Amino acid sequence: MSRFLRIFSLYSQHVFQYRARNFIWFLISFINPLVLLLFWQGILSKNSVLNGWTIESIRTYYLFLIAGQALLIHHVELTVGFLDIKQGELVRELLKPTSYMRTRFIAETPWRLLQGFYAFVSMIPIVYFLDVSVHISTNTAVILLAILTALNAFIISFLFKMVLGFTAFWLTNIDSLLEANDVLMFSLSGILLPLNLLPSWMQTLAQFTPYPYMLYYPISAFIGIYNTTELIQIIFAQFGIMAVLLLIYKLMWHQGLKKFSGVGQ
Amino acid sequence: MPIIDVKNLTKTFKIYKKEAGLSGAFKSLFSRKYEQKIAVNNVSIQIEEGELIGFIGPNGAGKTTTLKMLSGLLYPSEGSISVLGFKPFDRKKEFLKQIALVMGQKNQLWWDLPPMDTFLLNKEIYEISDKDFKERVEELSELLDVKDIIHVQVRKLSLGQRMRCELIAALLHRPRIFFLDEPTIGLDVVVQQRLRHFIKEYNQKYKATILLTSHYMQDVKALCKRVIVINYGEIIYDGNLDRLMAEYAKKGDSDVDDVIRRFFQHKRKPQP
Repeated sequence: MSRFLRIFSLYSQHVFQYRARNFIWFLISFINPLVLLLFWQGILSKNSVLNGWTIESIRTYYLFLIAGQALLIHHVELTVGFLDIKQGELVRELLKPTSYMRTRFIAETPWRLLQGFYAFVSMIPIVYFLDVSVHISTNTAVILLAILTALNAFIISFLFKMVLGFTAFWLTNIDSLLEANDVLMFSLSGILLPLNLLPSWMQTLAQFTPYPYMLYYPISAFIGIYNTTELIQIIFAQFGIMAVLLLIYKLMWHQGLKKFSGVGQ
Repeated sequence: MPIIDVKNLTKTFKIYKKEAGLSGAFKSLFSRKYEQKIAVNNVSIQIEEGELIGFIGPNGAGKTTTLKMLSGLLYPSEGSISVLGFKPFDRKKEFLKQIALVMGQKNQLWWDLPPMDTFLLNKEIYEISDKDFKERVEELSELLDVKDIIHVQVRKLSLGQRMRCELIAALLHRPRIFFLDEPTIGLDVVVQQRLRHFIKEYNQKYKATILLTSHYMQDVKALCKRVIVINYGEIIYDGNLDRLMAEYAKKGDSDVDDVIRRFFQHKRKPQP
C-alpha cells in the first residue's frame, strides 16, 4: 500500500469515529433537495416542459443534487477557520514535513466518501417510493466529460472552502462570512433552482462565481443537458477557476502565516 | 559552529485596544486603536549541538514566542535565525524532519483514537521504516512506561499519560533539535520526575539538542547546566546555572526558585 493510501486510511478511521455527526450533516444536505423535489413533483404535470426541464429530468436533477451535495461540497472551512486558525491547531500541522493543503485534502476526502455512501443508500427508497425514473445521458463521451466536470467540481469546492477558511487569519469572526456564503451557494449553485430557471441577470452573475461550477454544471452534465462542445467549454472554465483559486490560496496562505500567532488569533 | 544561531531577533504583535463600556464598543465600530507589543526584543543566542538548555522567565516574558520562531511557526519581525543551517520560517521538509516541538498546552494526538494511530500517522509522514518504527515505539514506550496504554483512546488517558504519549509522537523521527515548552505543566510530582529522567536520558543517548522552557525550576535544576533567562522579551542572563546560583544564592539557600526570584528583583525593569 502506498504511503498516500496509508495516510488516507488513517484519516478514514478517524472519520468513522463520528458516525452520528456525519449522518446528521448528511441529512442537512439531503432534506433541501428532497423538499424541492417534492415541490416540483407537485407543480409540474406529466407532459409539461419548463425551459427544457421535464418532470423526469427535474426529478433526476434534485435526486443527483442529494448525491452532489454530499460528495462534492467540502466543509473544510470550519476546520481551517475555527479549529486551525482561531484555536491555533494549525501549529501541529505546520510542524510536520508535509503540505497543509495535502493534509487537509486527505483528511476531508473520507468525509465526502462516507456522506456520498449515505446519499446513494438514501436514493434507493426515493427512487422506489416516489417512482422516479432516473434520466441520465446515454452518450459515453458526455458521461466521461461529466465525470471530469465532477472531479473538477470536487477540487474547486475544496480550494474555495480553504480560501474561505483562510479569512480567519484576518477576521475576528468568520461566522457571518460563512452564512453569506451559504446564501450565495443556495441561490447560485443550483440548489434552489436549476440555473436556467433563474432570472437572466442572476444567471450572468453566477457565471462569474465558482458556485455553479461546483454543483449545477456537473449534475446537468450527467443528465445530458449539455453536448460535448458545451461541456468542454465548461471544463475549461473550471480550469480557469481552479487557477484563480489556487493563486488566491497561495497569496492568502503566505500572507496569513505571517499574521498567525500560534495560540489562536 | 552553533546549531542554533539567533541574531537580534525581535517579534512585535499588533494588539487591538478597546475602550471599556458600551461607548467604547460603539466607537470600535468606526475606529479602532491598535498598539505594537514587543514580545521578543533584540535577542541573540548561540547553541551548540547536544546542549540541554533551560529557557526561563516569568509569564509573558517571550519564551514561547522565541521557541515558536525557532521552530518556524512565527515569522520574526526583525533579526535573523539559523537552525541547522535553515531559516525556520521557510519550513523546508529537510528542516522539519530534524526538529520537534512539544507544547504542554497543545497536543498532536488524535483525541478519539488511541495514541498508536497518531504514531502510525507520523510514521508515514516522517517516512520511518517499519523496523525503525517498531524499535522506537518499543524503546520509547518502555522508557516512558506507557506500553499498556498506547492502544487506549486518548480521551480516556490522564494528563500525564497523554503527555508521555505526546513525547513519543514527537520523538519517533529522532529529531536533532527538540523544543520543549512547559512539558511538565499540570503533572504530578512522580510524573514530572519520570519526564525529567527521560529528557536527560534522551539528550545523553542521542546527543539531541534540547531547549526547555518551564515554570518549575526543579526541571531546570535537574536537567540544565546552561540557562537563558528572559524578561520583557530581553535576555538578561545567559550562562551557567551554578554561577547564577552562586551569585544570587544566600548562605544556606538551596531552593533555585528563591535564587531566580532574587535575580529578577535585582534585574527588574519598569514595565513598558
